[in-house]
Amino acid sequence: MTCFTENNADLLIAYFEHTLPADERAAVEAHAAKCADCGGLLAAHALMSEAPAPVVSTDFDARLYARIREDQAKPWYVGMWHFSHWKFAIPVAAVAAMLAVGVFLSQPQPAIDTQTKAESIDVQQLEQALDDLELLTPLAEASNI
Amino acid sequence: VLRLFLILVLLVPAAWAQEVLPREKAQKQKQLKQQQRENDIVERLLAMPPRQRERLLSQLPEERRRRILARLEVLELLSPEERGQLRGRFDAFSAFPPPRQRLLRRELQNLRNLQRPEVRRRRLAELKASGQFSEEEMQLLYEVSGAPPPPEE
Repeated sequence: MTCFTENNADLLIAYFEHTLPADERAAVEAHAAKCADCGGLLAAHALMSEAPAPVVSTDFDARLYARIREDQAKPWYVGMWHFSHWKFAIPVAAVAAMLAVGVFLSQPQPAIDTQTKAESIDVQQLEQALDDLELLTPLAEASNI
Repeated sequence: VLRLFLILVLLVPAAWAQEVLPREKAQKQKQLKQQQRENDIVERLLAMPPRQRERLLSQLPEERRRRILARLEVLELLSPEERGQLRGRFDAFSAFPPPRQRLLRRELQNLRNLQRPEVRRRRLAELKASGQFSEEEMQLLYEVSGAPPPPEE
């Protein structure tokens, strides 16, 4: 017989579920008696079967189905606030924010309009230029400035 | 040793020309730009509508503001030809280094204080003879004084 550990899982599961015919079951036990690996598997299963199963409350199923019904009855928007619904949105928002920053930084700075430029006039410079222009006006005309 | 000395003699002026000349040139250009900006301020103000000009100067004390506005209005009254000539003189003046500009300002003011044309002409002749102003500077002084330069000897 082929060893359980070599692609014979179906046979092993059927053995554990007690669905194997008696002759095949006997063959499995005979193989396990000779094979250390398979014997170990059967012994481990027997040990697990003897362990006490956790006690499930009698109304477990009723409470579970009630909870499912309760969730299904909630309006759709209540569920929307759950974090799991927004998990996918976090990377999308991060990429969008990066794109927005990139677009903003690549925009040329708005040109300062003439009026704003003019408002930064240095009055001392202006007066110096006017003084010079006055000095450079031919004498006949200069008396007017 | 002599060869090394010759190499140094050749290299030092070359290094000086590499280092100092571009710096001096840049300084001159900066100064010229500064002067152009000063004139540009006037040009900009002249190009503005009067209301905008007044608003711009509204932060100044009343007397100072009124004086500037009045001087701008006088410039506005000049014909395009007169304004062009004035601009040309200003540009020529701006091209001189600041110490020469200061000297020219002082002399221009001095000439302006001389009321009689013949006194101005005499002063100009003295200045020319003294050689303290260059040809270009003298040309500017003659132009502003309205006196023709004397014929070359």
